[in-house]
Amino acid sequence: MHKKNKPITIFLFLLPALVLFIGILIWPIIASVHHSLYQYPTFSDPGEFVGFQNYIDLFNKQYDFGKAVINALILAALSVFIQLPLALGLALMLGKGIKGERFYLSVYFTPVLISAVVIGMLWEKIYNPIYGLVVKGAAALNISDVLPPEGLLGNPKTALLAVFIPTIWQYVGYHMLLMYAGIKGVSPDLREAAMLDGATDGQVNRYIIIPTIKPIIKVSIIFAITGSLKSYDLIKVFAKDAYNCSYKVPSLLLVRYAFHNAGGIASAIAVIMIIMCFGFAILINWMFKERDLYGKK
Amino acid sequence: MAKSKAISFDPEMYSVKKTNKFVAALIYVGLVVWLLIDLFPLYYLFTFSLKSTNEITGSNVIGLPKEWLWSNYARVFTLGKKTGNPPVRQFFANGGLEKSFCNSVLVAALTIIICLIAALMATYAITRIAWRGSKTLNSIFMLGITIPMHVALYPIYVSFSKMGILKSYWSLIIPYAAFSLSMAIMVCTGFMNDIPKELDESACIDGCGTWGTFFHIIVPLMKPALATMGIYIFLQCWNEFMFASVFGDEAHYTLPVFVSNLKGSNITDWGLVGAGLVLATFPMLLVYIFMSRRIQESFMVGAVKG
Amino acid sequence: MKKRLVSTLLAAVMVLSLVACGSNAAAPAADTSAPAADTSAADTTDTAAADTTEDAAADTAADTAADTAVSDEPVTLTMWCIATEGDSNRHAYEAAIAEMAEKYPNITLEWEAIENEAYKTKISAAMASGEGLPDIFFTWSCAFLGDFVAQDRVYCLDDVLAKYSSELPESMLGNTTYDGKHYGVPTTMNIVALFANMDLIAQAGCDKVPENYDELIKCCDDLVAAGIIPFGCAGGETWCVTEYLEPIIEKSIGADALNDIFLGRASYNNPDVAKAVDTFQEMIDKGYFDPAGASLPNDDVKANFIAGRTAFYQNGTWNCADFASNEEFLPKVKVTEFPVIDSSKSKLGQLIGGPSDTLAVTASSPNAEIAAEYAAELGKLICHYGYLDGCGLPAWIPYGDTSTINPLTQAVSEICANADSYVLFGDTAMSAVDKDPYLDAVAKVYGKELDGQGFIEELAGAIR
Repeated sequence: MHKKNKPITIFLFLLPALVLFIGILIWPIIASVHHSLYQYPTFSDPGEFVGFQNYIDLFNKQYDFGKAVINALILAALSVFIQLPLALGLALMLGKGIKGERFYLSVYFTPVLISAVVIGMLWEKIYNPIYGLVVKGAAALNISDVLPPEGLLGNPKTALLAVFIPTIWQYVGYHMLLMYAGIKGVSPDLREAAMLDGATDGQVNRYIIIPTIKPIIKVSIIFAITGSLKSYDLIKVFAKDAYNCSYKVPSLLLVRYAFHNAGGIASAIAVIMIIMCFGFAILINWMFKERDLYGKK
Repeated sequence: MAKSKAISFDPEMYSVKKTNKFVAALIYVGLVVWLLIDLFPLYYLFTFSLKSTNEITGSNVIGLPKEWLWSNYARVFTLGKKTGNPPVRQFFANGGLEKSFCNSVLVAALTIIICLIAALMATYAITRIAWRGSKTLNSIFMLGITIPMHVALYPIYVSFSKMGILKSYWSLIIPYAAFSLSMAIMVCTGFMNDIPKELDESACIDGCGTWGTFFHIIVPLMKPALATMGIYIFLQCWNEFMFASVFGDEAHYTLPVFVSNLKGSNITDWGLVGAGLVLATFPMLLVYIFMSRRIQESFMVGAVKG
Repeated sequence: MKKRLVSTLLAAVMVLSLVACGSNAAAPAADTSAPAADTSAADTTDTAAADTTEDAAADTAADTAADTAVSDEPVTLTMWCIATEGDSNRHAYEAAIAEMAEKYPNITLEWEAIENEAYKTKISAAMASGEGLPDIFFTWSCAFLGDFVAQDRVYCLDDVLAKYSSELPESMLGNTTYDGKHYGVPTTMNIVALFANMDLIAQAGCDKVPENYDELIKCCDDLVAAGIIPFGCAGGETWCVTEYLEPIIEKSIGADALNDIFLGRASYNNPDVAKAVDTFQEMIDKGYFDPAGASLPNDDVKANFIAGRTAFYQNGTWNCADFASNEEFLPKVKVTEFPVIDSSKSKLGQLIGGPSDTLAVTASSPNAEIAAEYAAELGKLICHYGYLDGCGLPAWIPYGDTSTINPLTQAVSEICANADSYVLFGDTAMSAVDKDPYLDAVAKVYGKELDGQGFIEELAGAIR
């Protein structure tokens, strides 16, 4: 490589990505940080400089933001500990090579393709306290008393879980596909050798496949957590006007205040969301790096 | 493909300890149950599109339609089209489902192309050219995955309106491409790391410059990655609603906007919305089913090489 | 005869409480008519403000020229609205626009409609930046339009509307008047009404719609005893809860008191409000409300009412056409207003609702003058066709044959003809900042997280 031209070449290669990235992602973040320090009584009017008052106000009772953050963290935890193991399990079963593998793979992915409106409406029907599948199922098992009369979505105690189940279910196929790709990337020789040595499927999975696809699992975890923290579409379908809900999440509040004349508050929510997402991404990267080091020892 | 099949591992031939029959059956049952859970929404969506609002909202929610209302579809095709004023000037200019479908396809296709080009080039500069700061830049790109799209709506609206590209396809394509970029770079990095560095070196010896190596060596080898990346980019933009509704005008409405316009402000004919949703979803499912074969095959190829 | 009815309605009503919105919107630049007084709108909105006053000045100077402006040169106007393909107002818009196209062949209207929720985002973003705005836009009256007026984005319609004073009563303009100036053309209006399934009520032994609160309570008790659920209310959508709560508060504390609270002239810290909220919760506790409603969307609750699961359904009068189109259901349903709870403070004829659907013109429009003329006439036609379709009641004095209008809408006309005063829907009357805590608190009342005392305390604290 000609040394003289190198910086220019690098720059040219990076140019399209940098233009998109800085123009569409970085600039709004800077704008959000700036806006979050002002009052913004209307969209176009910055109003008074209020410093960090918006951040302090956010955790006041009126905005329910603390609750929203906790809900998002619960969703993230459910994603990591329920959604991803499910996806991994499916990917392992399919990756082993079974009859109709491709058919399963395609079908498992379809929920990702269906719009949130359909998924939301369907699950609303499933939870419907009058004729929903849940009520009918409970009646068949004679355990109707367990269910709240206002329906799983109407009861503040159960609503959070009721909304998160479809949210998690919809993206199982997504993570499965990622992991499946990784599993198919594991050299067949390795698997073959292990099996000739008498390893069971479980052992192959545990000692060969999972360690090999660790980078992909890391990516999946990052996607799952950041996806949970910024989840919006499906929850919005359930929440409708987003007032009566025990399942408020930060993005719902962000959109609501952004267009309800509280630009400063909305920007503060945005900044906190970005910091949380960044934080988690860095944390997970760091955790996986540490493990690698120990592994090498 | 014959080659990959020959090499791919067949457990029946080699396994010493056969999987327990009971466990195998259990696995199958599990797979089939999950299959049914995932197929149910499609059944629901399809039957929902053939019912009346009355059936959908209560009298017959899960069952087959009592009366198969194919008219829902006929109505979806006639809706949203303006006759008379303004006069129909050109094909598809009169709005309606076909127009928004074409808009969606065009936006998705251009987003994928632009995003792929930007991601391939950036990934090449990050992974194949040695320079200080490449790792840092990569991490910065990766953080882009975490940024929620809603944050950007208003700042982008202002800059686009100043640039005069509001109400154009670009006002959707540019944000979609930017928000898919980080993910595309990440997938791309994985694939590009699998290409042996020796190839670059030998290309260098053969007199290929940096650009030559990129176009003649790397890009052709990245073909399997493109399908995977393409699908992920496609997913980011196909169902997107907020930007599409705020930035576009009627000539640029995408399918999600068209479908949401089937809802009324106070009273909604849900059968109509169902038909719109089916027409928006099923073509994409078909495309996916065809594409998925190719994606899976490209995975196999990657597996053989690795 | 129906015609007379509606005219009475228009003549008789609402001079009282509708003139209220102006005080709510802070419209700094619009308070004086002198163009030079615009110094208060200093920075970004400068050009728009200048436009408004310039245009306004031009308008007054060339009042006679207005007619010529509409007539000859080819002009293209753009319009945004929410009359989407699936909306019940779609037909009224299409018919009105077609009629306008015939009358003014030189004016091309390029209009687009987008779904309600998305529209709010879209118009807010466009108004905030002042870019990419259409000439004419749909808006909700009071606070929603008031925000845009405060940003100097809206063209003043005083001169144009003056020509229509005989067809559009001043009383209908209160919600779109800010600091004494008119900014909107109202189209249809709606109120909250109580729909009753007479078959179910008869099963409980009531032979007529309850006329006072005691009768209503007795009827509900009888219904519950007969195993029939009295009310359906969609807890999934908080605006539906307000359709119950607001009439209950109004009929307890009186229209004026409620209006003052909604418009920020009085505090929520009012023990009568707390009592009204407790009344509502008492009704919930007595099992008057379908518990299943707590999680359901409005469409499902309405379907339950049609299917005979609940005996009453209180919601907007835009439902009239929908119920009337159901041949099986129409004979069973009757429409009335919520009875008076405290007759010392309120009386029949104090209603929730009023003209909200409005057309307005942007100040930045290059053809603002023509657009204003066009919008006024279009608004009148949309009102006309919308009324014929049963989408709501007319803000303009109706003309033509109105005998084909469905019986429910006609019954509502009668209620309005006897109206004493109107209080606009709380979430339309309130500014966006106040609306959020209000709806949050209403949702909490329905979910039993707040009682009456908690409700007034929370809102007195949240709303200045």
